[in-house]
Amino acid sequence: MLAAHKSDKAVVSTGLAGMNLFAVCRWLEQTSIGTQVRTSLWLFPVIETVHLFGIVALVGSTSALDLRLLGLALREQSVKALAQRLLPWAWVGFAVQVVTGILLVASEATKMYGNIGFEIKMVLIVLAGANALVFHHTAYRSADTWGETRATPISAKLAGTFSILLWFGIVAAGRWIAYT
Amino acid sequence: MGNKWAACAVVIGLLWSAGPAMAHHGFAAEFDASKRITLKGTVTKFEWSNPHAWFFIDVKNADGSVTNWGFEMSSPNVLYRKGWTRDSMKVGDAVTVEAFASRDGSHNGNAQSITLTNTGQKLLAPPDAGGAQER
Repeated sequence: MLAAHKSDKAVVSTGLAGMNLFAVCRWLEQTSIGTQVRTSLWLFPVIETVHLFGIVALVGSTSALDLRLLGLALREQSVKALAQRLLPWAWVGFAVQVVTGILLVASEATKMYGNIGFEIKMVLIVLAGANALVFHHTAYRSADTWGETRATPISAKLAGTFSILLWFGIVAAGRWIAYT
Repeated sequence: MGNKWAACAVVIGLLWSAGPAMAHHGFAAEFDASKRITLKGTVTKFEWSNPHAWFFIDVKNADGSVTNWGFEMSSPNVLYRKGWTRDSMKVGDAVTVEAFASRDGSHNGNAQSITLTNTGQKLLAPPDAGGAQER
């Protein structure tokens, strides 16, 4: 990304709300933590690496469950038993992503402002969360009745499909941040 | 996992979650290795920043106007191993910069060599064959 020149343009082309958000980004970037991560020899690459471990824990465990929902893998396990074993790892991964993600964003917040890859990633994360919430409060409630069998209802298959597509999209959009 | 606290955590967490998976840039996407430019100017800003350091110079054009050019370099870690510190370049330093120009025609480039006018000191050695820096 072409640093300062791009940021300047973003300020000019947005309204009051945008200005406020940009001001927040600028503040975040100037905090002690943001400055440390941005200017340190080691912090940024180390945090990036941990962010990758977090993806593995999060997307690896959710994808395994998604494949089970689709009936494509781990079919000898009940959905409920698998969910109970995998979701704690998803939450560990998610926590790692939140912490490392905030640190990385803080270091270059004004560059993330208006970065289309970052914006798409944030939207997809909200959608993935909504998909998981809906699944847990609808189809998953009856998992006791269908979870032991190999067949899963269409609602569960849909949730699994959305989940895989959304998380893969999130990873791709995250990678795309550096190329926009 | 289905309780209200978990739901709350999901929403709050998601709103705040995640940053750049890897904030590096593709050299070839932004810069043209066949478009070499050489510019003389005065340093206006030096950003010792991840994932890539940047510096900016004011360049006087033939018609007397001044254009601010921005140049990308490696990460601070790579620069450090080449002997740089965050004080290697100061605002006001007169420099000659050889760079690969940006593809989009903006006033940006990928710095390949930087020479301090006063001392003749080379701050950035020409890269190895191929020119492109690490991705």
